[in-house]
Amino acid sequence: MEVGSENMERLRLLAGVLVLFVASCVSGKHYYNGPWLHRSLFESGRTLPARVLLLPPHVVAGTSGEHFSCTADAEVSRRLADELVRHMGELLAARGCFEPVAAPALDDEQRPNLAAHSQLFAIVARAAQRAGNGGTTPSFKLREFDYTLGPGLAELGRRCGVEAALMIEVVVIGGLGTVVAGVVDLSSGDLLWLQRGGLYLRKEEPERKLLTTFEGLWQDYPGLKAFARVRGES
Amino acid sequence: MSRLLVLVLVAALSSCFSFEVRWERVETRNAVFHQDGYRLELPLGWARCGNCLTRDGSSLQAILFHRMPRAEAEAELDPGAPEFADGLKTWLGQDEHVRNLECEELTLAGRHATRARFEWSSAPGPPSFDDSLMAFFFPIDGWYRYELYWVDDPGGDAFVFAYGAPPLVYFERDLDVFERLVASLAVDAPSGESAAP
Repeated sequence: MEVGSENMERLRLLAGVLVLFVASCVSGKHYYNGPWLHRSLFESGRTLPARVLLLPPHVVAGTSGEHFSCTADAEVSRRLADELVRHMGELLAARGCFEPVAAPALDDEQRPNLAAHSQLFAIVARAAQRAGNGGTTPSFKLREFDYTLGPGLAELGRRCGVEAALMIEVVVIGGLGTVVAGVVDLSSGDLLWLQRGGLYLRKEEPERKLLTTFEGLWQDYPGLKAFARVRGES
Repeated sequence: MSRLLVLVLVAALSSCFSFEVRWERVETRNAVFHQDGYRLELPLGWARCGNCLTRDGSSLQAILFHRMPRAEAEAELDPGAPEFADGLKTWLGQDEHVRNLECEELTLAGRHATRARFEWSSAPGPPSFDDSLMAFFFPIDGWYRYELYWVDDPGGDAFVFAYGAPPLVYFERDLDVFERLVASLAVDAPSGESAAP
């Protein structure tokens, strides 16, 4: 860890809380915290999948350095990702959201394709979770939630005999972070369900805190009624 | 960060920065943007805020457009110079966050234009306050593909159009929309004769 980075992390956290507080006072916004569901689930009788492939989570954990620069910590990132991989199937099975299917080993051709789609998921999910919250995403996207990753992972779905996959993006900088999970239809790439959670990882047991936050995302899965309500109001 | 893109971003930003970005949906066919002496045909179903257009959110995909007075343009690069495309390529290429850069000269509806294609690690649209915070506190890695047109107007000014989206799925899907918008550029007659809104 860099000299002074602990103080920078505290400063970052304090600055974040203060700025968010001031922003919320000034803008007077009520934030919608998800879930977000694809419009076809409401408009064309589509249903959520019964079996879902658990893709490897993409985890970036790092520390904040001088001038708020971020330094990724590969070891911590891998540890957190491994912890999620070890337990997410069990957690999801216990909740009964769907039947989780373990991801197969990927070959050298499939890995870059999955990495490209994971990167796209992070970008798309960032825009999608602004739906209903103003900012850079127009408000009509809440009603017309039709984000997609395209059909680039369809072959993986055919090979595994599943119609959908779970994609997870975790970003933690200086102990503060977000977890975003999305259920993606593999043949079309449609983002069927999306949820996010905030993270504050205490140093002593960050893995447990991450799992608790991840489990919290599924508390009201799929949340069709709640989303239908906000969608109708939008 | 390339100064040209910053200029376009700042121009778009100045027209829509607020705590609450006010997007206006393009609800009808043949809707036009007509300000500052030029007009563009807007894409149906997209949303506009100032000089920025998006379909899904401007942190995902955005089209930016800006009329740049000649003096402002020449402070950066002389668009009238015969080696402009090479200059633009060198200029953009200096940015370490730009990759796969290509530049070519072409003619667009009788106007001399330069088209640049490249990938850049920054999201295309002007950020809102909240989005800036998110990007600052929780940065995500990602590349966006850009197409940029620098169109010379015989009247003297330059028109800069930029389109950015992730290379996978989104860029190709909406490229036609961008190119149709660029092709629709019509500049008012110097006499100030106004076109229909």
